[in-house]
Amino acid sequence: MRKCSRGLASLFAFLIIALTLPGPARADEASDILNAMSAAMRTLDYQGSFTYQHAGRVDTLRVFHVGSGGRERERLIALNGPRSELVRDGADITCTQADGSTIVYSSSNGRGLLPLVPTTTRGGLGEHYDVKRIGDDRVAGYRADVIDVVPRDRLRYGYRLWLERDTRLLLRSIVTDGERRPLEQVMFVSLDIGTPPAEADLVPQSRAVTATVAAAVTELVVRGAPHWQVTAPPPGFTFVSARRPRQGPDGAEHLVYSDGLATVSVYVEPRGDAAAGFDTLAGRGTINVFSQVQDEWRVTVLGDVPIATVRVIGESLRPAGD
Amino acid sequence: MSQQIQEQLSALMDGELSRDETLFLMRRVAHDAGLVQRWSAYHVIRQSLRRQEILPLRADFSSVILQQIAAEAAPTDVRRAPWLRWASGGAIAASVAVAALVATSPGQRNAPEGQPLAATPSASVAAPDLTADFRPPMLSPVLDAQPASAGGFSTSSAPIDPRLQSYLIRHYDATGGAGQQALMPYVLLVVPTQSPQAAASPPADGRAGERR
Repeated sequence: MRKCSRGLASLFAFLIIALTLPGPARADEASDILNAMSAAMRTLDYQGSFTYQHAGRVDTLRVFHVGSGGRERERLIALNGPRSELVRDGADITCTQADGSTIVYSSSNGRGLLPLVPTTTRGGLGEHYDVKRIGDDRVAGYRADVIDVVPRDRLRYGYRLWLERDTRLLLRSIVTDGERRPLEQVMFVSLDIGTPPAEADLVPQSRAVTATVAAAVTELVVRGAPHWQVTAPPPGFTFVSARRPRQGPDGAEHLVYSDGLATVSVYVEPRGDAAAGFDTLAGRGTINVFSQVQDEWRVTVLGDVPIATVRVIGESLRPAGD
Repeated sequence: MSQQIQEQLSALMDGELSRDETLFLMRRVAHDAGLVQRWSAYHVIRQSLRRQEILPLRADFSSVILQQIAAEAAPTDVRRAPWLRWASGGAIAASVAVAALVATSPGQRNAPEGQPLAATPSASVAAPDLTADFRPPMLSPVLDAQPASAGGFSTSSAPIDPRLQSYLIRHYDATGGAGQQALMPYVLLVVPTQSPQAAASPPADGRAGERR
């Protein structure tokens, strides 16, 4: 009898202690987790298949990724629907569409050759997101920690992330809107971490290249003050970098704003034949696009953020010094 | 709270407390909030261990038990068959206690008593509490399961709008794979176009691509 009550009492004490566990991660810890995930995605070798669930449909894709050795190489292939694929070698991207057209993009920023400076600033992240570990799970045969990233306002999306326990590789993710409704989901169904893909798996299928579209705009990093600025960015979004097209006119610019997790690009280009007024363009996945003509310029704002956020950013863009 | 009382609570829980002892204990419980708390804690633990649904104890359970014991005919013959003796003694009190427990509907559960639920061992298995908030699902009720032969992707001639494609590539390039873009950049450039009209029309054309 006495044994029984003592047993129950100690179990009770244990349960009380267990209650206080897994608590919210500290801000440092939170950005550490996300940085570790980001680094794992870039620096590990892996290959596998995953599903991408969005806007009422499910797509399956295959990925080959080499991250060891300093240069990141990657190939993504759509497994269902029209055949399309993307090959990335360092900063060079070759994207082959279903109709065989190919777009080649080469970056000037030396990405992949230099260690990246994470955009995540300690402290800033915690102000706008609540990051906590909420449990364990198993995805594609790997044990995973489940991390919840909950935005503190409706100007950014939330995320639920399943990270592989040892490597922090992302195994599954759900992006949610302001009401915690899922918008899209990515989930590995088979995955091999640590085995470098064969060389043949990292080059585009040669038959697909039937037409080559002119290369996309190549950009240079703007040194010095940019021509444009967002005068009233949504809370938490700060200026990260500015670039300009290599062949663009003076004033054409690509600004990047970030809240430490979500990133928004602002493109300012010559108006061309675009009509005045604004237009919300087709969004894809969780990407939202806002476009507006301002005098002789066409402003396009794009990012993985709610429509309100791209709009606020777009509407408060002004020439610097105005 | 004396050791003796604790042992009696344990015994009652195990159905081993005699009728008289149960009466004595319940009278005490009626006037001792600490005992009520301990009793309900024992119940929660026992039900967790048995993986039963956890029902909170109603606050006046001791008076319910006292009434029911009083309503019972006092056992007269203690030399009955062993199982009858067992049944007429504390075991009845214990089963009455359970009845008093179950008599509270889950709807009346209050927050502090609900709390230990979170500490039950099964909770460590990523119970997606969030699913309650999640409204159904990413898959729209309208199935996009048209086979290719049914014209599902005559869209092969309508790839993603080149301007958007260029924006996306430059966007991902500028963010350098840091932050949230690391999740799965470039996927959008590879997946089949979901609505040919939206992607095929040049954005400069106007509002054709408006979403949401």
